[in-house]
Amino acid sequence: MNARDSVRRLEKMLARDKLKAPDGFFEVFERDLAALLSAYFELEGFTAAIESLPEGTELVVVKAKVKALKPLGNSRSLRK
Amino acid sequence: MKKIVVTSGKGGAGKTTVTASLGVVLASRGYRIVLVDADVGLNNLDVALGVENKLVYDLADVIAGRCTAAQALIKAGSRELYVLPSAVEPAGMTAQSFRAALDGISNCDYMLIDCPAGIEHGFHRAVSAADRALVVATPAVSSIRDADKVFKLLSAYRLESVSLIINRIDASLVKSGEMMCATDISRLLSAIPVGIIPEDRHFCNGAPLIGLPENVKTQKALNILADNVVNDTYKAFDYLSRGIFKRRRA
Repeated sequence: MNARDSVRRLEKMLARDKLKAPDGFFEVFERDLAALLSAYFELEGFTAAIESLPEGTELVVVKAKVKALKPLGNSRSLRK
Repeated sequence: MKKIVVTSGKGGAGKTTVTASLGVVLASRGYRIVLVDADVGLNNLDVALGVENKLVYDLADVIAGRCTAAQALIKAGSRELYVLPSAVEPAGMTAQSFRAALDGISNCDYMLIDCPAGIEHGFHRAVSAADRALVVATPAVSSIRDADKVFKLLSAYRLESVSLIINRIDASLVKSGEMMCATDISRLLSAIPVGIIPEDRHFCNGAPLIGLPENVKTQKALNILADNVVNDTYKAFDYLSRGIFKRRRA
């Protein structure tokens, strides 16, 4: 494991410790966010993280490259 | 007198080495220093300073009233550096009795308390006797995680300051991307380090810390740590280029 991987692993670990999040929380959180955004966008390189701020609060950071907007349906398409 | 506990949570982070080294540097500047071995039963402070054969009384004797704290102190080296050793676990030692034992030592400028590993009774005893804390962390994932927990625990005590020391950092591994850098560790722990101490073979072979060559890289880092402790600053040791630069305070 290189330093970058260690930092990423620790970021998740420390945030989980602070939030007292149960095991698997971040996997579910990341997957749900990815699923939600994927309904609207064609995504590339999706990452989500919770970062601890010095003042004691947490910041949710989502990074993803949007390749395209997905065609949105409407109520008429639902009826079909 | 300033009472400073050196803690880390995790064992092997270098608490004893940092305590002893900082004590040696401060004593070399003319301060009267007392080092307290609160790592009861796993005491190594006397070994780090090469005075293990001078032990007559220890912390247990002070708490049991068999001697005064001043009588139990061992002089290390030619400077005003003393060690209060703790060879055996004193029966019925509480945080209060530990504090009372240390209160018997009044004539010193700095008291450095070497905290045991873990976050249980020994940790509480050592921290509750101090008014400042230094948290030692190495660039290992487990050490940083434990240090983060210790920072959180320390926030419950009425301490004047809680500062970070990054220990055993290896510039070559940082440069090759195999080890986290001090900036990453500082950001993860939301703390500006008062000391960045490089990995050094002089500190690995068990030789007493008194009389180390003055030109070793670590000696420069320890001098900066001592400056920061004395002056309450955040001057940093540039372990990557061996230069010295100032960092702005938090």
